[in-house]
Amino acid sequence: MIEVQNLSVRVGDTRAVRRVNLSIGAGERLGVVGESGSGKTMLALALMGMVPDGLTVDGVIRIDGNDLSRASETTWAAYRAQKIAMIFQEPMSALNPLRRIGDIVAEPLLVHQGISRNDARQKVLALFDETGIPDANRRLQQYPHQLSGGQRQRVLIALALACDPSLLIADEPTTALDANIALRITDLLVRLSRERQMALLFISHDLSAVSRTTEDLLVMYGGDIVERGKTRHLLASPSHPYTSGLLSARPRIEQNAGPRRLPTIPGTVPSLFDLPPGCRFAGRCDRELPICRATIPQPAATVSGGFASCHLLNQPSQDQTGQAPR
Amino acid sequence: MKQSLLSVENISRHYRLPRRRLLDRQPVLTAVDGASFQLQRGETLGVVGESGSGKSTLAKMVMAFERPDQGRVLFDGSDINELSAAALKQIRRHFQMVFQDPFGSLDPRRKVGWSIAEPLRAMATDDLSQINDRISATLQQVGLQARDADKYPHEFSGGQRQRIAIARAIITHPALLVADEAVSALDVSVQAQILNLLMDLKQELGLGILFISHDLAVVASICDRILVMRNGRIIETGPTAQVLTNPAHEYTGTLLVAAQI
Ligand SMILES: Nc1ncnc2c1ncn2[C@@H]1O[C@H](COP(=O)(O)OP(=O)(O)OP(=O)(O)O)[C@@H](O)[C@H]1O
Ligand SMILES: Nc1ncnc2c1ncn2[C@@H]1O[C@H](COP(=O)(O)OP(=O)(O)O)[C@@H](O)[C@H]1O
Ligand code: SF4
Ligand SMILES: [Mg+2]
Ligand SMILES: [Mg+2]
Repeated sequence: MIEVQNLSVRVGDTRAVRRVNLSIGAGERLGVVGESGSGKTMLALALMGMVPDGLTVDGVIRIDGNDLSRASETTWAAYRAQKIAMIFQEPMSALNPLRRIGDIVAEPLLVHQGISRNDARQKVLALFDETGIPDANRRLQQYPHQLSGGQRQRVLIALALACDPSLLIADEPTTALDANIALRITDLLVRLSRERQMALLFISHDLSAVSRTTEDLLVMYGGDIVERGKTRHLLASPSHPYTSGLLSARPRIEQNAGPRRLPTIPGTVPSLFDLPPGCRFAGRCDRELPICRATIPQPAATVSGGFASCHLLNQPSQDQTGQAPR
Repeated sequence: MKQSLLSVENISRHYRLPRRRLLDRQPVLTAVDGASFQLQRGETLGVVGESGSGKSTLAKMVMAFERPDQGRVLFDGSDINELSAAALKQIRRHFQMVFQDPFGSLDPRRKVGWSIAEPLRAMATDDLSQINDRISATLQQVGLQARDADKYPHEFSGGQRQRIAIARAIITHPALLVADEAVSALDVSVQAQILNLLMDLKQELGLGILFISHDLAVVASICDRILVMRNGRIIETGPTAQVLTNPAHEYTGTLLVAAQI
């Protein structure tokens, strides 16, 4: 369905996404995790032909076999109308505040599928039901500001699903949702991907949502993919220190719940303009080696059957399981 | 008895819904229905509940952005809806809010330093000559750099913008912070940092925090007490460990189960 080779997003003389390769077949579900600023949204926008002005994309993006890397805005617009859809991270800015939500979601149906107003209305109602928007009939008439944050997010999801896309890119779709609704949405995405053979790129920092929704997983950091593999195996036995850090920072409900400090990864994602020359994670990593600052680690096979770019994986002291010693 | 920092007494808020037909009676949605609770200095009170249960509406009334149709909100003993506009403006510095949607709350055309200092200028009582020092110090407090003050919001990623929003809320050294889904848009590592930051601020400044979140695990790791909302009502309240290990209400149990999948 979609195939990406050597994709980079250039910002001045640095890159927000660096030489990414990925492919998602019909009915496949790929997840992307990583801290904010690691390039997830830029990657998604590149796949939509929507990177902001001033940024440039190179590499190959093939959708259904067609190379879109040099495509015009008109071609991209046609793909966006019919094949690929995106659920944006920013619900408020993606919804026109002056229009009723029923009209917002009906519009692509009227324009691109040419169905009657009445059929469009029925379809919108069905979408609202599926995404768990309560009291759908009345909600059609409401404006975005009259909905709660989680309800607005679900309107966006309904909008993205309206035209039966063959590739859906979901950027943090469940972040604003409580656990019950998030479960419902991830179940819905999995079901749609199965039933309609929809390819899904699911971007999230919610590791439990990712593990429920996706089969394969990319971990991004500083514009690079630092680890990849089968979601289940990768999360069960992470090889990259960054992946382990993300997993341990996750709050959990424990026996003696109450205020307590969480383990964190020190510092923040470095700015694109002062990335360390070797491993991008150097300086924040608790297992750093002398070689790390200066030399970029190459991808190596991991215990979980995937790849990770970390010098620990090439250490001679590494034991048989491939797990580097603590 | 010591006075509560925040005391909410039986407040309700109704919204009118569109009519289905012209001559129908206009239906009314009760977003918050008779809520009462208290919050002490140095305490973090969590508000959980499913989407649409009335959490943000409750927050808006606590912040005096909306008037309750019924009931009172007392900040430090005074009814905020009885204050004159000028008096309300004066005490606003003491209660600040971090919003659910950080993208909407920053002016895209202003440098973030300007946006962060907005609450200070709004009060106009402080010595503005030190405003730049305050901006630098506050940015560092939330894990950003002093030079970030000269950048525009679009130059930051989502998580960084949420830190900016928190910086703006704490720059006046408030006594009460209302955080509506303040960490929901953040990735786990930054979320952990911000939660730790809020705990530090609570300790250093004796801050009372009304912490609204749909994420039970997050609430469990930061709050002293929890309040569970459903359909606009507070159905359960108690110390965190008690509510989570031994919920009195069946609904709380279902939230717990969903949170642990
Ligand atoms: N301005 C408004 N006009 C009409 N209805 C509104 C308005 N604001 C909120 N509501 C309704 O009030 C109810 C409670 O909304 P509120 O924003 O308080 O929910 P919430 O608990 O914060 O949900 P979420 O977790 O999704 O943010 C919802 O049904 C919402 O649609
Ligand atoms: N319009 C822009 N111009 C320049 N840099 C940008 C722009 N938007 C985002 N960036 C930078 O690109 C990097 C990746 O951002 P983004 O893809 O939004 O991260 P994520 O979605 O993983 O949080 C960040 O360093 C961010 O500051
Ligand atoms: S290469 Fe070095 S710094 Fe980078 S993640 Fe591995 S151990 Fe840490
Ligand atoms: Mg993003
Ligand atoms: Mg809300």
